[in-house]
Amino acid sequence: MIQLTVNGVSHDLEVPPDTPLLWALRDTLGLTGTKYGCGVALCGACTVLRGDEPIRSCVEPVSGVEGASITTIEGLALTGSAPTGLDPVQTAWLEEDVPQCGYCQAGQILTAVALLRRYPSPTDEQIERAMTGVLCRCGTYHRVRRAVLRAAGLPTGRQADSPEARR
Amino acid sequence: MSARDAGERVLTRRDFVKVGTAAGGGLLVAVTVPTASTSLAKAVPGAEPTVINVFIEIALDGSVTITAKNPEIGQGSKTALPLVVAEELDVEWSRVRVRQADLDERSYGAQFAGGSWGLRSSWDSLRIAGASARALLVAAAAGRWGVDAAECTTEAGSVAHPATGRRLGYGELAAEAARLPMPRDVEPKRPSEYRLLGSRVPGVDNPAIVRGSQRFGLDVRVEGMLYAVVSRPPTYGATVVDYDPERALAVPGVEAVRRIEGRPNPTHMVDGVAVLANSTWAALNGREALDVEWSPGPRGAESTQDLRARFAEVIEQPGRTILRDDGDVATAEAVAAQVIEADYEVPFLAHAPMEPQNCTAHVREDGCDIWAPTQSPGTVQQLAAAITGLPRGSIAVHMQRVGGGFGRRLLGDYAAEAVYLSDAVGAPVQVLWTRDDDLRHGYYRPAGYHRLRASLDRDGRPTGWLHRLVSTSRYEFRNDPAGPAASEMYADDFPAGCIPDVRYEYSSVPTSIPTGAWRATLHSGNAFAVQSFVDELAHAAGRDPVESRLEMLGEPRELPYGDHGGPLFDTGRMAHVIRVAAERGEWGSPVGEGRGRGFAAHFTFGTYAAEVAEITVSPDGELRVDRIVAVLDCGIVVNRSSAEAQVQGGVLQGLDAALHSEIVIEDGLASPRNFDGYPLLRFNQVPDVEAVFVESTVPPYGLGEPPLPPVAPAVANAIFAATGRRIRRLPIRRRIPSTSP
Repeated sequence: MIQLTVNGVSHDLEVPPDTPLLWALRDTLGLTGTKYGCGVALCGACTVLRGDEPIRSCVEPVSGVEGASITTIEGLALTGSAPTGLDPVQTAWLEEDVPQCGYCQAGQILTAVALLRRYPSPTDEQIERAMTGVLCRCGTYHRVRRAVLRAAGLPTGRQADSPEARR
Repeated sequence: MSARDAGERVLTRRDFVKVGTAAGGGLLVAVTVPTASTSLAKAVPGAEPTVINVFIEIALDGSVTITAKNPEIGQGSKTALPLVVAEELDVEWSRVRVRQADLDERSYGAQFAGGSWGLRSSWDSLRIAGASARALLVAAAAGRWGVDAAECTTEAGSVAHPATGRRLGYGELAAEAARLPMPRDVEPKRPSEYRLLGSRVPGVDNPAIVRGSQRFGLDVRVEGMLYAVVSRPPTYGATVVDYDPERALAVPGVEAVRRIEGRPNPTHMVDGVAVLANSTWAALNGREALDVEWSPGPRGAESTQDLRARFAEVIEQPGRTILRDDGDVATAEAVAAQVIEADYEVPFLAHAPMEPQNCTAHVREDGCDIWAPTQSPGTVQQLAAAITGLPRGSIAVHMQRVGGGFGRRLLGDYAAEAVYLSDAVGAPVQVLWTRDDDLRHGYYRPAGYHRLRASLDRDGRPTGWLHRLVSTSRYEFRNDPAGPAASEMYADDFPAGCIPDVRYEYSSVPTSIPTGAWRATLHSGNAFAVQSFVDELAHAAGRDPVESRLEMLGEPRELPYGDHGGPLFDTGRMAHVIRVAAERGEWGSPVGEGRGRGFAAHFTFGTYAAEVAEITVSPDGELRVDRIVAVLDCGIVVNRSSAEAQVQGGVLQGLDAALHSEIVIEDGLASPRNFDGYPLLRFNQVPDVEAVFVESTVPPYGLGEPPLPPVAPAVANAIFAATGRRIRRLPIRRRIPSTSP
């Protein structure tokens, strides 16, 4: 039996201790917002927060997070400050229309949340260092950058599409 | 402009419009329209020339529900298609709810995501549906007020009679409208009247995505479901000789081990042994413990190295299929002032969507439910029927939002496995492909070897053009009757019709290495060869690459185009995007030491694309791509936000392919096991991407694929401009070799 707190709720998990947190969240607790992408901590789709620290749940055995407080994408809104209950990062994600397929976005959002909790006004280099760990095959990176800047209250620059070319 | 404008035609198709009362008492409008163009439909696998249906429901409270019939794979179709209906209906977008349809091709016609085809194929029916519903609501209001319908206007979900200042909401009119006959003439708006189309509208699933409540295929949970992973062949085409389930069954949580018997067509399902368990982790551990004995595949230990050598032999022979033979290339060469030849190579590419292949199925005596993240639910249903013997009508395919498609999910093999295993164990089964499975057992973009030879006249103008391609045909791989050349090389591609003597030849090299459709199909590789070669010719003749492209295109005119995005190729629209790209990309202005600009343009899926790449090569050969300007003429831009996203995404995937991506085959199997062996573009490697859309009133064509093909040649041409090194083989990689290959 392994005790951990997920999104503020305490759970006693009856899974083998070497079970990666990812599969315990998805298959045992039914929290499918955390995604499987690679299984070896290369893509960041499975990112969750341990306290304020982003961790790769696909390589973190549940025995390694015993007693810890974990936040998944489903729990992020519960702690959000906006009137909608959303975290400012989630709001910025909506405003910038970031998702394409959407599959990697939980990992992107939680990585950005952790970044901004550590550096509320991140430099370009800090943003780059944090976000480079999370893959997006659809190519949403330009908007990920804009959304992080927006959530931090920093200028986002111009839209990528110029005015139309008249024919 | 000779292409027809969107608002030109008055549509009087009342026969196709069905009106009824919705369950809650509101208005239900269904529109059935035969697809106009079969030549386009046939260019996409699985697409039948058939009917397309749109369903709109207007409730008594004025809310509107629009059915989205196609799979959503990140291309934005679930938002863009209903947006067209909302525009014609004149309803506030915030009042619209979009409902994802299940598979029901009898009602909806072909339902798939492929060929950049969703908007184009549904454009007319979406407009008719919206305009018809609007006409009914106007008729209901006019009737109630005793005025002429022509005196009424609509705006933001209500009908108004300006002369008397009266106004009624759609909800108040819906029940009455449902009992009215369809008005005779329904005219969709003119593009100048659009309020929603062309604006930036966020994806309808975004709120669920950012909360983590959006369900993807792998998130499906069914009572009593088993999790399965499959031990897959060590070489392509290998079959199971024997297996010992004991060690796998000893893993706690493992409940069954089952052999999967492959189908004759290797794109339907291949041999494997599945481990089924009560959790994904137990299934993965069970697979580790499993012992399987395999036969060698029919071609044994194939490798990309051997294949390249074989390509180099076959390219010396005339092609087995002659796709085009205008004039006489041999004579053109004989009289030419100069003949220039170059070979180009492109590798196998994996799709690598972030959501690996998976599917959940529950087969019962009387039917079957399938929850499939697929681009082609009809294919899934067909395979399930073949496996289970159940009638297609009893097989429900519930389309799940798809975590990336890129062509991989046009096939249904992953779903066939789930169906097969559920049938075998009598319980619901979810099959998961690990990243290793997904990368090593993909259906890759075919590898190819191009030879191009051009005759130039005394002024350096191309007069003759030979293009010979040797590749591993994906149609041959699946024994498709269309023949090996189909969708490998396109008879009407540029410069066909622009040069008097043109010959396109194709040969395939048979292989067991699996191949399939990949974003932009073979245009991804062919444009690299052709657009690099155009650049080479321009430099050989001492001409400007943009000027020489414009000269090759010649006068604005329409040429027949028989493949994706036909039936016409308009040289004038292509010339226009080239000119705009040159202007926006600051073509011809100084760019600085160690830097270069490259140009490329390509037409596919009905959309015209021209791109300028700006790069830097450091003194020690390190390549950095700084900026890509992409100019597109896709007709009307429906949703500016997703259109821009498709350009950014298409360009980045094209850049990935240009710079890093290559599936290497060794000992009969792809070697990369994960993203360390198949690196994808990351956040810190992304150049500025500028998307420019040409203003247009022509009906919209797709954007999922067209931005991709020009990227690799634009970057390669920029490297030449900066360094004098010519890139003739992809991927380029990060370091530019000190001598040309």
